[in-house]
Amino acid sequence: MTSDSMPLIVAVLSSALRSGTGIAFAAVGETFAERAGVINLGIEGMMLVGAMAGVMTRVNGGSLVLAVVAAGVAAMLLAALHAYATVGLGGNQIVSGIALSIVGTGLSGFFGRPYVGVQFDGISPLNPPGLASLPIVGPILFQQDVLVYVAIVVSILAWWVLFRTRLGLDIRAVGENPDAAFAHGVAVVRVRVTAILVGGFLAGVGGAYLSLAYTHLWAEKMTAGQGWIAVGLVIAARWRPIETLIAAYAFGALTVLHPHLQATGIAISPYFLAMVPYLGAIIALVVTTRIFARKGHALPAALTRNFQFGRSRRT
Amino acid sequence: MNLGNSNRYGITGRRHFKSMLVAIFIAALLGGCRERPAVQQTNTQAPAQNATPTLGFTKDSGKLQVGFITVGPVSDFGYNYQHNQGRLALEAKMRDKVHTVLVENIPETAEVERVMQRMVDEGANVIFATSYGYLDSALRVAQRNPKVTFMHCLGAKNAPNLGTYSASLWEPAYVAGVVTAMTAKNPRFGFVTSHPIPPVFWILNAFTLGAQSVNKNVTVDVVYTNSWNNPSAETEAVKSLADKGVGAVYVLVDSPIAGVQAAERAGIYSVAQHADLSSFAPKGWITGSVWGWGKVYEDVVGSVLNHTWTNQPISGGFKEGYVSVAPFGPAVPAAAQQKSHELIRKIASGEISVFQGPIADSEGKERVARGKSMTVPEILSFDWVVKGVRGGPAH
Repeated sequence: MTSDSMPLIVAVLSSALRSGTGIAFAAVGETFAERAGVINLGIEGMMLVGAMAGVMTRVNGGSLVLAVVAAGVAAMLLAALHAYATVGLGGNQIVSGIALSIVGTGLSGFFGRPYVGVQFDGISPLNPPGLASLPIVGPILFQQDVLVYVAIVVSILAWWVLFRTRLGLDIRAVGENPDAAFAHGVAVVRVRVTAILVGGFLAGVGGAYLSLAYTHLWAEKMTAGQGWIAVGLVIAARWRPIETLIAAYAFGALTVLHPHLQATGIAISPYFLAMVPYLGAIIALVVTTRIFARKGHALPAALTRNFQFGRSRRT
Repeated sequence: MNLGNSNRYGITGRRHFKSMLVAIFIAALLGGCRERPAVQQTNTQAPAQNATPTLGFTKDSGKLQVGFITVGPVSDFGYNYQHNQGRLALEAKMRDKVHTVLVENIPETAEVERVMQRMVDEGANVIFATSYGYLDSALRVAQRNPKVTFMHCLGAKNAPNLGTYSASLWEPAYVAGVVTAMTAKNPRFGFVTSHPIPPVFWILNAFTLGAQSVNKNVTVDVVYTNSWNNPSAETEAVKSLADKGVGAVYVLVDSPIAGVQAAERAGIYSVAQHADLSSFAPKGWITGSVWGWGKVYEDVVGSVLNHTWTNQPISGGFKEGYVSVAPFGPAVPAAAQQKSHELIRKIASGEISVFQGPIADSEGKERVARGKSMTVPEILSFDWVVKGVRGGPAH
């Protein structure tokens, strides 16, 4: 049982894709919701529910595909609560989202109790013969599990839907000015609810990635704040799915730099290294906000503003 | 459509956006930075006991009522699991004299104070507060309830009716180091843990010295995850060590499952703290250092029953049966197993000491002279790492 040493940069890039994938799913999902004008701060809770539901399904005999879908659906149900509170009842989006996060953490902890310390076969790297053993590109591109590739496909698909389809146009219109969109015949409520549910589904898949593929276990609060980071990355990426994916990978790279640099044996405070990804996220947020504020890639104008159906109908 | 509407969604939207950003960052800080300064875990969750009106004490049964509180789920194959194993051992030994109640998943907040008081109200005679962060709460509840005996794990304060208990886990960690060095050909080892604090240094140093007693060239690369409970970070830490070419890794966090599984996937050997995790690494498992709380609980409860209990700190190692070495994995050669039995005997009899000089620190400076051994208070306040340990903050 020996392991050959891998160059630091290759090891970090290879790990960065895995480390960023869970966040990428959640952040791309959140992009949908926010583009439609609804911020959902409940990602942390939805990811946890997804992570737990995935393990629950897998341990009880479900296939891996079913486990991932179940994770998405479970988190989507939680997102439906947010949709009901905000779109349905006109409640404050921030408050509802934070409540959702707390509820999701509690629910996943409660229903996940029997699954702590339970073993299951998770999602393993594909390692295609030949390709996986290529130097440099092998570990980075091919020693990955299937969900890493799915995240890339989902991001591209999300871009296509948001910017190249009628549905995407509706979503963005609703996020910019729901009253105008409504006047143009867009079913504002339906579009917003759809976007929130898509966001919930992807957050659940992101959570399932952490439990089923990344760590192969369920533990309470195992997301350890990744859901909150996803919210920040959406903003840093200016509500664009491809950029969000890249931001997630960048965050992943900074996160894994922490153990990888330590493993080389250099004497840097672990507390300093642990701070780097968060510092990076804040800097990215500041820089992108500064740069793009002028260029007009600004936030969806109606973000956090609920659509007041009755009032709009009168106008 | 009127102008008022577009105004509403435009300008004011941006102002709210700022407060929203602030909210996100505060939330992210709360989520990301929640850490605990000392010995055990950050894992917290609402009480697991459901809506039943009582905790299950039977104060009219004539048995001594003993309550246990753990900070995480006892199914973690780690810190909390091992405390529950101790409780079960106590029950098995003294079933006719003792009734135990476990309340798990209690955060180190005012919550634990409420749980302790409730235990007292329902008739508990002895309460074991098993998490480091329970100490201050336990001291307050102990003061209000002088007739109840409180025992706190690993703490450094006491009260007339509150004592502390711990065990010399460095003894099995040393043996684990010896066994690992006799099993793994590659002299580069890794160590994954939470924080650079004394209870981690006991284990890290003992493991390294044990391994070096077999092979002088052993080095141990340490990765700190800054959390007692972050499976993603533990997975990545083990992966990073495997990528750098270590042959075996010691996992010291609340629940070592993630790290041990990651080691198995990476094809390297694993050693872990707290319990037997061989089922999670059928090929690579070597052994583990195990708390023997069952014996501690028997001794404490026995002294309460005999009215000989005092608030003096309780501690012990192989000799007292307070620690043990976990079952060996299939890769461990017979010679290593034999050697471990011999070592355990010699450590128990006092013939050899784990921290026996000469010991140099990571910068090569001699800290313990030849012929000297470190005292227990010295071990408990370790703030340096031995030669051969690499990484982490400058010591």
